Amino acid sequence: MYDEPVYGVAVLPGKYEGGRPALNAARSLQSFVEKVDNLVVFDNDAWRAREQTIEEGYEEMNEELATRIVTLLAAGERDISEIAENAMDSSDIMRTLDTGGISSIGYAKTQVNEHGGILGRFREDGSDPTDGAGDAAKIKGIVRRAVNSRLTLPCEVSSAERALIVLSGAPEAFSRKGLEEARRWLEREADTVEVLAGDDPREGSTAIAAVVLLSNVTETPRIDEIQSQAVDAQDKIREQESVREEEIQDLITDDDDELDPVI
Amino acid sequence: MKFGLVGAGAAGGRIVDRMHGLEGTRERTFSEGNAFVFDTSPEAFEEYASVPADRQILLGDTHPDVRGEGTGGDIDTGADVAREESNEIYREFDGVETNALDAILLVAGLGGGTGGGVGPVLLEHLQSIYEVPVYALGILPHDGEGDERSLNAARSLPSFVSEAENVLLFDNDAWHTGEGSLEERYPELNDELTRRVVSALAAGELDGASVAENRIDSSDIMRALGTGGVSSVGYASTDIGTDTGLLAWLRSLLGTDQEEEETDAARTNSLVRRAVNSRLTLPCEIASAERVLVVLSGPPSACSRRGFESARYWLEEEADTVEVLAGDQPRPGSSRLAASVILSNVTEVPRVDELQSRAVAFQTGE
Repeated sequence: MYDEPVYGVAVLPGKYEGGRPALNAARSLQSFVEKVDNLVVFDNDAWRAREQTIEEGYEEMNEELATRIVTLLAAGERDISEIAENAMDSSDIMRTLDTGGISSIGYAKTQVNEHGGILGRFREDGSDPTDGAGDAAKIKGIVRRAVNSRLTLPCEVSSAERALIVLSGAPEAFSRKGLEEARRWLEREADTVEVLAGDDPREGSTAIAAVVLLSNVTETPRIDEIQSQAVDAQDKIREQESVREEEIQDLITDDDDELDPVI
Repeated sequence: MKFGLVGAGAAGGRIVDRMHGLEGTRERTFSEGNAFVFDTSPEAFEEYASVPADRQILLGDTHPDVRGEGTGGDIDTGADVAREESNEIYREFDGVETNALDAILLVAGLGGGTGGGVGPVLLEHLQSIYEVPVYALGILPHDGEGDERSLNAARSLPSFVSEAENVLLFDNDAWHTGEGSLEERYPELNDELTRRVVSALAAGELDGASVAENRIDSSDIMRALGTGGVSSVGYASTDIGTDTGLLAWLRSLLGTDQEEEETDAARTNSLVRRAVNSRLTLPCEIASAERVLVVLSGPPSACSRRGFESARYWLEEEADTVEVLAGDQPRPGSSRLAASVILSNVTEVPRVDELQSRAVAFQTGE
């Protein structure tokens, strides 16, 4: 129906939701990946806090997921935010997603000092600043933290085919040098030369956030786990179905079949 | 799930009247006003307080063996009467607006001539008219009710199971213990039964529309019941008192208290276990169940996700099945937390074997 790429966001059931949801997920994952241009996956199990009521749990997780998706996709939008130093546009995001596989998103955020810049350095002239080593290190640090923190889908980072870094937030805290170092670090980490990096300045913001998209990750223990749980579930369901009629008949009739049913 | 109610015989009629009465004047109902009772004697009609008179249908008033005085405990007469009056039965069901219903539930005592005989024929008719699944709720006779009723139940059960998509059973013998005659205990037993069946089947229908992420819906219930066998229902509830009110509010202001949450999780978990381990409507081997439905209802702030998840997992192990459908039914204002469990297609049921042996012995001796 559309010429534009269609991406999906999928949420995997938790282990404790049981065999049937695992079977559904394992089967539907195949169809999803086949039908969409890229599938961003969120693993409920990696995210559920130990103590939560039913009410709180999903709200929190949905919020976390939405933050990541919105921060990532907003980067390609030419809205009222100022022109980026190292602009990211939608074609960069589309290029990264154009692998046909499954993606995972990492995210980290940090507050910026009120006086501007992570180290309090204030840039008034808007000129291209000479990065202080401190700022660059901070930027690199936040990107590393985004990758090493809880990914939406825990995976082997080196199995990613492409990656994208978006730095979003207070422009005075950006460091081009830091972003470039982070990009090179991720190239090594993900073992790919296809790592794009850009920023999305948000004037007035008091924080900076790094979003990392790992596209076409192929080593994801949780998906293997769901598949094996699904195979077990399918076997169990088939086994039960095969004896169902016989067991019902055994129950409702007497041993020697001496009783006639009323109708 | 929304379901229409059809009662056959006095036992079925009483329960339908009670269930219908439970809906009372509430804004939301599960039966959408669809409640019928069929009987071969008008005697029981006098007791009914809720099912309207034009939905109380007398069958067999012209049948030579009945003449408005019941089947005399003969299920074959019951079945005959219902067959002969098929047209009348179809006419009664004609005006039912089933668009609003997810299912039909026929309720009958399997030991009675009307319940055990008319019941299966009604099921047959209902199946042929309606597209929605038709379930049955059958009452097994008490041991003290005699040989004939055991024989009736043993002969009626296979017909119920072959006609209905699922037969929930309630065993009077397991429930009528201690003092008092069965007649005296009916109101109490019927209350226990109604509470269990309505909490499990009408999940979500009687309470305000509060949205839950994991809400149980009719398709879950229908999936659980879609085994074609016999099912048993478990239930447990606990008072959570003031915990949901001011204290819970204060707690939310002060942030999460680890210990309190630990208690919530343990409470939710043990409640579900208790629902399964306490007296089931039909005592049975839990491991023989094919599918399980578990509904947790109560104020969302008291339903611990971790507790519910571990209980669900425990059920999977206990029932030895991967098909445990679990969900919650939020009732924000409630001060009670309740767990309802349906064990669907249980195949190891000592009471059914017992009824069959007694029936065979009686039939052989006759």
